[in-house]
Amino acid sequence: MGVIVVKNLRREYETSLGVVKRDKKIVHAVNDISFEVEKGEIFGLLGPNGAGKTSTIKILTTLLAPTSGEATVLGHKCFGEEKELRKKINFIFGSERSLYWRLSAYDNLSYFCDLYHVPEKMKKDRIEKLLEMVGLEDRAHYRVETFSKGMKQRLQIARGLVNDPEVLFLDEPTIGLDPMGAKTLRKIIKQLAEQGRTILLTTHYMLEADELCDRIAIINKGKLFALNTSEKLKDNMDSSMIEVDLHTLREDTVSRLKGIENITDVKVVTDDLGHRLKIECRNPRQIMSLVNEQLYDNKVKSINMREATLEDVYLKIIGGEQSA
Amino acid sequence: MKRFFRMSSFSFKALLGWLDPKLYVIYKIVDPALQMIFYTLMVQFVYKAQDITPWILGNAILLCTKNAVFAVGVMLRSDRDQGTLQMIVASPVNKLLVFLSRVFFNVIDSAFTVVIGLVVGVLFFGLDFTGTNMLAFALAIAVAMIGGTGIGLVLGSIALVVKEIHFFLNVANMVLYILTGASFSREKLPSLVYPVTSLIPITRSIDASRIIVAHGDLASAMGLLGMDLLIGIVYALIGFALYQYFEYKARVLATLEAY
Amino acid sequence: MLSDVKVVLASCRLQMKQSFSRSMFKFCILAYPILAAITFYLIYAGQNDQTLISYVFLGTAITSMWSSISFSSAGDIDRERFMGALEVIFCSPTRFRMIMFGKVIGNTLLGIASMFISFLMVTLLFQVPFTLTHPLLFIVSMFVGIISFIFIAMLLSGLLAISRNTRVLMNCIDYPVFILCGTVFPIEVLPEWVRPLSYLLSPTYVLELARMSINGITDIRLFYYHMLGLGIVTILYLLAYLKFYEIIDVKARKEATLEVI
Repeated sequence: MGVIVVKNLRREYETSLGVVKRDKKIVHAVNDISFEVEKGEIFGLLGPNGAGKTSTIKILTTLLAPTSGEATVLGHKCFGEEKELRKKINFIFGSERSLYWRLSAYDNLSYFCDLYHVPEKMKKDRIEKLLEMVGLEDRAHYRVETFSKGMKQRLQIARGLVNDPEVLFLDEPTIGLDPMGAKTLRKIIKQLAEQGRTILLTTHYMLEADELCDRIAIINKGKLFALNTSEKLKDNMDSSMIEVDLHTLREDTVSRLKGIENITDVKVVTDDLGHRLKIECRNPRQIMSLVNEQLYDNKVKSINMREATLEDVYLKIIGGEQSA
Repeated sequence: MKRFFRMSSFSFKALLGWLDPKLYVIYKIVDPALQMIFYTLMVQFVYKAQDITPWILGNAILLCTKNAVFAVGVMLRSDRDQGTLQMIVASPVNKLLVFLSRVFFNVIDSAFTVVIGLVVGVLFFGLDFTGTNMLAFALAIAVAMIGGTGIGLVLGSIALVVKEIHFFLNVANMVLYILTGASFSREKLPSLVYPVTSLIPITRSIDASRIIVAHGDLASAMGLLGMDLLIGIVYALIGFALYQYFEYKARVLATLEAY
Repeated sequence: MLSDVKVVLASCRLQMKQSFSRSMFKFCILAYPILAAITFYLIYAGQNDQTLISYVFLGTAITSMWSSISFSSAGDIDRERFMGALEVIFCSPTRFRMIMFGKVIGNTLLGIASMFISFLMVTLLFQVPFTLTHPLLFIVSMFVGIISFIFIAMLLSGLLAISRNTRVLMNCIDYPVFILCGTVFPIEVLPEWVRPLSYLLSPTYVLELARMSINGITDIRLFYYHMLGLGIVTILYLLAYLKFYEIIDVKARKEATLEVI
């Protein structure tokens, strides 16, 4: 049984258009999504704006009621059993919101400690540790409105940890941060997972998802399109490429290469410098040795491998869906 | 001229874009009507047997100040906050025209509010217009609106540089209520403050409207209106000058966004 | 239970700290009582001292108290919604109504400050001697009144939490109350068919009780009847508020009204 279980989840919104005559329109923000997240896992939700990521997170964090389907976290229903659940989870929206700007960093954390019933004797210690973790210990007593964007976002992380949550939800945690800030944040997220926390995050940055997430779900228009580890998602792509530059090329090499499983096509480009083989394939790492074997009596100048990236996967899924 | 109206309606739309019709009714009709009822009931209770017509008129006309002060102030300010101020500053158009066009609809809007106040007066408090020279009365309202807008422009321009805008505009609104003597005779004000009231537009328009409804001397009413019109225009020009000054200062100090 | 008390205190403290740095709140607490006292005084000028206290002082005190409570209860919800804090506090294991309760108490304490300002204005600036026929009953009335105000503010805050038009409603809620409760004139001025509405609002009773203790009580039973009425409406507010927050908890999540759209 996963820590987070989502089964056939749906959420509809009713929106009205027009000023005088209000036309009602139903929007399916989440349309029959199912997945499970295991303990200690970092689980990524990818998808374009309006795909249903935030709605899903809001349902899981007890902020939104599902229209139908099941959503449980740590065995508690997200709608109906929120009393038990809210103590054990927390969420962080990657923006400067959700803080009291006119209060100091310390006051913010202190207030949220109270809301989460953190015992008085643990409070001070915990706040100091959290501030240290996010590198704000020397700004503890400054007002939040004087903070830079990155500092506010780090304070948000600290806020999200006041109750030492077992499950943490992060909605675009690094949005708008500079590369250094984003890197620090990713480091913190990894540390949190190492401590055994389960993390569900959404992001628009593919490299970030690739680096952080154990498994990735790609959703679009409220539906789940792919769910796997980053590696497996890439394996299924046939856009990987091995390029081989040769001085000489034996006649049967190309046909033998084509015989290797997972190779979809081999093209030869010949010019006065020699030959270039463009081998389109899946899973280039696995077949590399096989390719090498077939090249043994050619004079090889260089071999380059370009693996499919998560971005290729994403664009293929989302792009395919959108042009369809 | 066409552009003038287009710009006017744009800025008006931008101001009220967030309101749906139901809320517009609450904001522009119900709330002014209630303010009117509140003060008139109080005056009715305090002045008992006296004819309260002057105070009904004063309160109705003063409804426009709330409109003018807040609408103009908030409009100029939101230009600044949303960054559209920079675009206007950078554009080659005649700034005075832009400036006036932006408040034009507010004038009409304010006049509408005053009419609501008068309707409340007629319906609930026996305000009587029989035999009133309606043309002269309409003129009094129009002059009061110009005065209200003029003072709105001055306050709005100041609001551009004031940090606590809501504090400032609310205080200004209440001070205006006191200085124009809508609900009590201005003679009750301390002798030090009394002269100030004659520097405020609207005051004379209210006096003129009282004379007109009481079938008094039309010539003296017109004199008051002429004077008020002049003051109103002076205020509008001061408002524009302030606006330009702050704009210039902002460019020199390179703080257009944050003034 | 103990942790709830802590949350209420923490929210109350937070509220007061935040409010002090807010321009609109400064208006409600400082400028409004001063300017309103001047306005009402100028209208009432020439009346006897008891009338001045009954209407100028009480009128200013109750209207400024009401403005600061209603304005901040509403304004805070709007602001917290905008800042995204509404979601965060909603999602904490503390019951939402406890958090709001703390905030309202914070606002009320600040509102009491504005009552003192109106008191100072009337006694010092206008030199009206503050004579009360029944000082003790006056204090009791005001105290019970303030408690009742807290509950009416809670009810309001709930109503505004689920409305997206908070800001507009907030601006339009003052005058109806000022008129119906007879803040600056007795409710006998109102048409008879309106008066039952007045008696649904607790400030009406508070004002009548206070005015009785200022001007002298001719019939002590009338005083007790009003006290009883005040108690009943306050209990009604309390019940409605508890029920209301239960509804909010579900409605806000079903209709997604906690976020800014």
